[in-house]
Amino acid sequence: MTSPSLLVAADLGIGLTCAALALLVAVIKLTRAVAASSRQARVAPYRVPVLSVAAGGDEDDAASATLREVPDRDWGAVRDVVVAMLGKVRGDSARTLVRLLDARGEFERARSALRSRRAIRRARAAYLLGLAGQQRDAGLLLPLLGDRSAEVRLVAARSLGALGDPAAAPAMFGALGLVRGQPGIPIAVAAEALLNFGTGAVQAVIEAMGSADVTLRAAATMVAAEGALSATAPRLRQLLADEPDLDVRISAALALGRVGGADDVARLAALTGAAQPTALRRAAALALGELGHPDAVPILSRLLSDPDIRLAQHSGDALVRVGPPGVRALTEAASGSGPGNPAGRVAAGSLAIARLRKAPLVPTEPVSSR
Amino acid sequence: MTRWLLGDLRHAVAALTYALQIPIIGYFLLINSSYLMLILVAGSGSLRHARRLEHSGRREALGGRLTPGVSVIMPAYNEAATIVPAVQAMLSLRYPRYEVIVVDDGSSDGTVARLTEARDGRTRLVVVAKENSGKAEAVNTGINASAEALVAVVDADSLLDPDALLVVSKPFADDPVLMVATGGMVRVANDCPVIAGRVTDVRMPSSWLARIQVVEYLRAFLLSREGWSRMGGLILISGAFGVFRRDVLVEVGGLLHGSLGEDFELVMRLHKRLRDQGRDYRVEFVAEPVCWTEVPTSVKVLHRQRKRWHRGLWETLWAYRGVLGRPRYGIVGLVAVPWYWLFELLAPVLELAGLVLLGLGTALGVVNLAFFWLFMAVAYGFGIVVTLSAMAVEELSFPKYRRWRDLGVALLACLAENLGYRQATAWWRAEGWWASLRGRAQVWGTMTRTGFADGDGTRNG
Repeated sequence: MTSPSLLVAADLGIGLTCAALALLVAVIKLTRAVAASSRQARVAPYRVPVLSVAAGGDEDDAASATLREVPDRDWGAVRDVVVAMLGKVRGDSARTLVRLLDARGEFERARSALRSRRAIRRARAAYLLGLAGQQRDAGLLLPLLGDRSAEVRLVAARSLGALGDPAAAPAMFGALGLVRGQPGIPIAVAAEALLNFGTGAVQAVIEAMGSADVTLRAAATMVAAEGALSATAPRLRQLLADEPDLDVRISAALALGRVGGADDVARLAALTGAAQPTALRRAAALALGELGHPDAVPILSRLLSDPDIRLAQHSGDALVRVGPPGVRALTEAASGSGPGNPAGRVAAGSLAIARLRKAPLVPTEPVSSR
Repeated sequence: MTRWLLGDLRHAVAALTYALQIPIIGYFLLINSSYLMLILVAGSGSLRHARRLEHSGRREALGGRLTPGVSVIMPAYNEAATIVPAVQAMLSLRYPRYEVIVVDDGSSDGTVARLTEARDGRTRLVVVAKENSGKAEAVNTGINASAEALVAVVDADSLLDPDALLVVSKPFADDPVLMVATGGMVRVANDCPVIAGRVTDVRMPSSWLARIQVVEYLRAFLLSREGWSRMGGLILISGAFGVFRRDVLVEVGGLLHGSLGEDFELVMRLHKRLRDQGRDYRVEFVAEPVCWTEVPTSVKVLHRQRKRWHRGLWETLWAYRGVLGRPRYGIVGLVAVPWYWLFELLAPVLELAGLVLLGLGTALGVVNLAFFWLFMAVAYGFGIVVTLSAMAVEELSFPKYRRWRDLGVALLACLAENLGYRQATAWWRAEGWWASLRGRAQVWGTMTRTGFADGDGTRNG
């Protein structure tokens, strides 16, 4: 039998551990409460000046002056409030907050921290510099796209996007590949940053579309689709013709819907054919709607009766986007709706949704449907 | 004759106690040590997450043009008591692109009719009414109706914090290629005031049954979710709140109709299929508490729930027994699944067997009373250590209970859990397993909702 004395010892040990843990929970709670209260007390005198600057009401510079003079012992707490506010405001207010942080030496400290051995410090510094939005810091952030920490690479990419310097575009594409044997930054993060670079990045986008790396092509087509970069149209047509990756073709189709012209109706219509992958057919239908050309109306009308209900619904929505000719086609299709006419039901549904969205050019009278 | 029988029984119990004492003590030590280790791993994960909130990219995701769209699917069956605040909360989440799909699974309490009170005209709300056929088919119907790249499955009685989608879908933005599923931390909302579908003040429930479940949920989510997630072996995402890549969900066939543990079964199937295909992927848990749910306050409903959960656990583990111990399934097959067999499935049976043996031994004089109590104190005391560790992790990372009174109640609930609750749930869990082994019909049962407390303390259900 297990020795009772051993059990007594174990019970004592467990009892003490329980008491210690309960005490620890209480101490953590107390410490947190005291810290929060102290923080609040330190921030309280400066809350109004911070709000005044953030709201753009500091015309006589009095609030900024007060904040510049915050004693060092209180600055840590006030700084956090200022940084949090900087993430919420734009324009002059943001610029004033940036000047204040600069005057307090926050950005200099952040620039030094970019070389810290601790990843979290590098990431925080990169975040703050991105929030500040000063393009001169782009050069300091660029090397972080190859940082040994994936977290730092990610934050650096977002911050470079926030700075909006198109010169960083090639490096951003480069960061999509393997970095130190690890996967590069996610496509969506790179694409989001590239979108912030605007038309200045178009050359890099076009070049990436011709890359042998599918990740780069995918990011480039995403940017072309979302950014409506019209200069990419010829390259997009080429991708639609010979791209092996389905996701890239889908992005290219959506992009062409944004930047293409009348000549692209036939090209996109061919992608709605039954032999094409479902996702590509759906994307092509949406793209035809985006294109908004009346020539797309008969193609989209036919797709209203497609067995793929989602494609049919996309086609209905696309007809609404085409404008009056599309709406007329939908109204006509809806008038004949019934159990044996799925196209009519889809058309009635698209019109109803368009009406709910208050889309222009849709008749206000509901179309009778069953 | 009776004396002779008693003598024999005493000998048998003595022999059994002697033979099993070391294995039983070993099992208790092992199970609680593994719990403690998982809590510590989870704790480091939670702290890491908490320290990175500022630069996590949430603000950028909110304004992002490429933030993946999410279809929020809410299967509902007789949820009239809570459906309006739940849908209101869904419709006012902070997320750039999402839709809400409520699938009414043939409710008879007017759930659909109440939904008209919930629509806000800004976020797309799709209501699909179907005949009753169970939660799995309701979710699958919602997946069919969904239009976005990500699908969030949320119980109709769950309340989400405003940033819940941003928080739980963020891993998909950070790693869109590998991430296939994420789960969110679920907490207890009983008696918390709810305004416009939001939990506005987190407080301990008034019922002791619910209070015990507060600490139980806290421990369970840190253990079975965050701990395993950090180790790359997350095999359970709560049906109350999980986000999945829609294409992967469709590829694996959605939820399995007829399964009692459909959330567990789905994640196991994801692991199995993707590993079988040799694909690289990630399933992750997000430690930030963003989802609130009502837990049973009646013994009858709790009994049914635990019976069902354990039956679902057994049926899923049995269905995927081929994963057990197989190196091709990595940490899932070699560590997580064996752990679930040993410390989740077997735990109630072994706990009950230990209790019966010790009780019998004490009654027959084989085990002295002092030993009995000392042993029980060790066994349950270690459990209390685990729960208190979970509470410490919570206080360090994402503390939600502000009042000192709530802390006192939670500490008492840690103790109270061991005075009948644990034993009762062990019995119910064993019952669930037994019912499955005997091939008894599967019953989902109904969860009687009382509705959430309104801002002024009244019920809105």
